[in-house]
Amino acid sequence: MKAFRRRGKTFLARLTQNEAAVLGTLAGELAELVQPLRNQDGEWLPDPAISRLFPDAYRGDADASEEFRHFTQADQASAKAEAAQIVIADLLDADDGWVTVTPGHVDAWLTTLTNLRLVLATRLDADPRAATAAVLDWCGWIQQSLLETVAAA
Amino acid sequence: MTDTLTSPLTEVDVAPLTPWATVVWNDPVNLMSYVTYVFMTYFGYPRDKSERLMMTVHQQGRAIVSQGDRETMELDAAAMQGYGLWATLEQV
Repeated sequence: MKAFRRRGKTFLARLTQNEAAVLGTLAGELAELVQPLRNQDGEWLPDPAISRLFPDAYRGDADASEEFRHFTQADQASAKAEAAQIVIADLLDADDGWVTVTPGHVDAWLTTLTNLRLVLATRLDADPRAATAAVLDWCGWIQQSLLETVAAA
Repeated sequence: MTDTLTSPLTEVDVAPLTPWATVVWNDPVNLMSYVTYVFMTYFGYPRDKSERLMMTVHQQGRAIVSQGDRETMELDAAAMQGYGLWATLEQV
């Protein structure tokens, strides 16, 4: 992969087919992960990644946190899924490996990379595999590259 | 400690104007540059203030990033969580 660079008002990075496939698959899994947050009985799915993506808003107050989730969770989940879909669409639009991120898509990329890193970090806690750690670092590298390019623009 | 004096003011009268705060907590995953970006983008804080807040989160474990009424702080906390930051709200 070649780091992000600026071209005009947009940001470009070059990914190999494998890299684009890995990132696209992860983003797709993220979009699916945030959709069914509760089982049929309305119980929170016991997934530490879900707990990290939707943390208690009121520390030490489960009732207030649950009420907060009641009002925010559906929108938050949709926003995370939509952001992941934007990344997938941008990856599919790649031209000879060059992925273009418009200023309007920067937030979607940064939040999706963050959400992926948060999920990967919780997976890593449960099952410390080198491959997971490598992907976690790689997502951080992409994110840092985009952040630096945006900051310099 | 002094003895508690009976105030002629009610508790509502002396309540601070902005009694709620949004707090961002340190987590080992999020990049420092990303946390700074979020403060600049969402709150519109200048880079130096955003970096200062980020360093407070990083070094002290938490930082108050905004203050206001409860409803506004719920919006801010939800926005921070939307960015993937570990955010809570509390009474100041």
